[in-house]
Amino acid sequence: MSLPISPRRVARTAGIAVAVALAVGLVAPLVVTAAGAFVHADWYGQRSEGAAAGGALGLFRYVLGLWSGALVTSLRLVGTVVPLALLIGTPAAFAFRRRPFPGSGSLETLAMTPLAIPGIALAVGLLLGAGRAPRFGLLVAGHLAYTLPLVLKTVSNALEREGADLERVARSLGAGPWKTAAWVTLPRLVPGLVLSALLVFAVSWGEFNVSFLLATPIVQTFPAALYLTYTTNSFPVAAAATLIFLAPIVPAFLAIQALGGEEFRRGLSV
Amino acid sequence: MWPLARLAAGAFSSPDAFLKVLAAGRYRTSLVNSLALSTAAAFVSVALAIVPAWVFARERFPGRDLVRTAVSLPLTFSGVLVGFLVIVMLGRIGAVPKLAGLLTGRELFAGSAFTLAGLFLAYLYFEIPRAVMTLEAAFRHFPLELDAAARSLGAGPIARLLHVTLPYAAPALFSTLAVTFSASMGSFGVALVLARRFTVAPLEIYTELTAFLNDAVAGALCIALAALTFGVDRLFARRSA
Amino acid sequence: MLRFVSGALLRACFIITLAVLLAPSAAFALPAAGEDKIVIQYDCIPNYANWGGVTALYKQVAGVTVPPDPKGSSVAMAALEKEKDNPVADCAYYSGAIGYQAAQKGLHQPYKPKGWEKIPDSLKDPNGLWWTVHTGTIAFVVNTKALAGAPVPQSFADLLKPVYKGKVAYDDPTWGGTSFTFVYGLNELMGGTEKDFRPGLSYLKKLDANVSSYPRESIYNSVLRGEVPIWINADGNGYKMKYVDGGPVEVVIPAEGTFTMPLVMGLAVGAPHADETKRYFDWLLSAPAQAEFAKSFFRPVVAGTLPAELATKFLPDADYKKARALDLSNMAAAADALKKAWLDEIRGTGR
Repeated sequence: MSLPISPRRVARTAGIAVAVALAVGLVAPLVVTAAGAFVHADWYGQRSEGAAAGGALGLFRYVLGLWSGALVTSLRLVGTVVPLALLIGTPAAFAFRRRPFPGSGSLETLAMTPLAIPGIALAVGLLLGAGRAPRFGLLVAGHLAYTLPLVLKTVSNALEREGADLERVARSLGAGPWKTAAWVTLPRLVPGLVLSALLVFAVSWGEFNVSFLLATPIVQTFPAALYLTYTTNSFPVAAAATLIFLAPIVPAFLAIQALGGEEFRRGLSV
Repeated sequence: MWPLARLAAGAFSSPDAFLKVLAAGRYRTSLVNSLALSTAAAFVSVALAIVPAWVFARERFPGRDLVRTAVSLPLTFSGVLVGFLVIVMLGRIGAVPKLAGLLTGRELFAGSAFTLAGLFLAYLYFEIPRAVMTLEAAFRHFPLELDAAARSLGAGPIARLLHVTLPYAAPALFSTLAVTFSASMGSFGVALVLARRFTVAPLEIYTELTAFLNDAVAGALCIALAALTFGVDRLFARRSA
Repeated sequence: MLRFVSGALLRACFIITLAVLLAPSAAFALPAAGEDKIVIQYDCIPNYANWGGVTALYKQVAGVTVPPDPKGSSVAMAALEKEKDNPVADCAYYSGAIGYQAAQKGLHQPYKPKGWEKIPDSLKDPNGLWWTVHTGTIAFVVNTKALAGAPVPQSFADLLKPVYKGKVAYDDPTWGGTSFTFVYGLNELMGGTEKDFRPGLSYLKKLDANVSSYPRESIYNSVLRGEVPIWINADGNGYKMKYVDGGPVEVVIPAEGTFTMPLVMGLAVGAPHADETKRYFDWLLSAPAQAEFAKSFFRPVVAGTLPAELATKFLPDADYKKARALDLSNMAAAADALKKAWLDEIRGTGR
């Protein structure tokens, strides 16, 4: 009892040390990247863009000028995919959980399959089946295929956790099905919805397979532009572009942590 | 689902594309490489994830949230980003060789980003967060009473880990293996940036598609890759049930 | 009462969340990238032949955007072929042989840009299906710092020495036309013909031991940074690294001889912005555009547009006497077979 160091404490400290070491290892490349953009570009050899020479600010201005089209495309894509995924996914999850119909089980399995097949296969399938469909529409379809299962899963979990008791109570008190859904079910789903929205946002913002294979010089997402930057631009420009890519993700993750995002993380790791 | 049907239809309409893919040569090598690399990455990342996942699930310590956020962040990184980060660290003039040069006078690991080891590290980079988060969720439901009972029976920490915790967590470990494995199989960006002499199936698919207009072979490769992924996933899933 | 307040609170939360989520849709109010005047050129790599500078200049003088595109010649041709029924691109830029092949495949429509008469006859198609915009020469681009003490290689024979193990790269010839020109020319240099690839492939097989990668993207920056010490590519890219970017780079014309390479363009069949593209083509042959290409040391096709101070920075003419022109029609005829042979024999099983 009075031992200053118990095995339990040693194990705990060692475990924490391992976790911290892992985090440091994962973050170190990001720090080095940021340093490359801001501090001392010459660490990474000669640079090739004279235009980007004017300090960190000039660098970012140069990158934004270079890829503003891709940024706008990505923002539009996310702006379309997030609401669509929620608008389709939430009622679908509700139907699967609360109002199963003949074939709903297999439909649900079908909707979940994009998670189980390799990303590249899905992208190639879309591309080969593309025909004359507008590219932006295809991108939206591809991203929906990836993100809908996440919404279904998150919302289903939330519905199961909440249970149907309150809804039954509301119904027995005379509320119609719509009223019940709007006033009882939906409000209690808000945390789940916020998390699925963030989830869809994060996945869609970073998605590469579909975006890259379906990209044209006009319709190009930011991750696809990142690849171009890594291959054609010098290190500081690539580093600055990387930081721009991370800019919306890091705050989103911190916000999720603050919200207590178990659900979110589990969803993401699917 | 339609794209998948399209894929299958395209592939089955030209059976010789399938034969080409399965015959010895570049395509089969790429499939075998993908399988080997993804399996290895899955096992190693799960092994490395056990301790941090347990710590996050069980322990409170100052800065825990920050550490967890840091670990989960790479989940959203696209493959090309991970590839770039590995080059930043381990390229011929990457940060690690530079640092090693400062400390020891020899630039160790220079250029290792482009070797198989570099590619493997890149896979680990995006699989470890996935593994940690999936396992953490599982460990959270671990009944501590079991552990306490074992302890009161005199079992030491290692014995408890081997005989109580791990057997209990086995299903979770297997399902985590499945999750990380399938993500690796489909990953494309990392290999696009890093793979030099070594080839993986997604890379061959991309090449067939863009350089040779060989939709049939690309489709057949996709189907083969999907089938492999599905098969191994089932294998893991049976153990996790 | 409490229940009511918390319900209202939840609903407010829900509405706010929705608003936040829908906010990115505001991006639709932003001007779309596709709405300004645009010309889509396949194979428009900013660091190759100063396309970055040329397209920036065109944006400035004409207000037309020509977005960068990372495809190599062969990939550009493949994309045009694939999109034949539903054209995306207006034009493409290739190494001569691949552009010739693309024209043969019926992927181009005729156009003779302003200044057509200034292009030597051997460097254009009589019907206007393709024409040269500038020429380059295959050379070793060597980052001397990254060689880490090894001597600068002077010949193809030198490159086989063990001291260059892991230090040599040339682009995948199934991706880029420059590299295809190198592989085809090398075969002729080693005694092969357009039917017999063995001499070239046997050299490349030996070289394989020293090759670090067969990139399928531009590695201009990798060479400049020192990731890749020796790149077999166009001379101009090396001069640009040396004189424009100030890198520790030398350009070497191999002692055994080398090959010149016309770089050509053509108007795609069904080009969505055909008129805009024609104006762009006219401008590309104008003196300012040709001088802008010359800044990256690709020799302008229009005589007299190479600024004198740039001309002095090339290696002496004695070196360039070793460069021979290759027959584009033979090259185009051999292209598919040679690429396949290279894949089978050199890249092999992709170990």
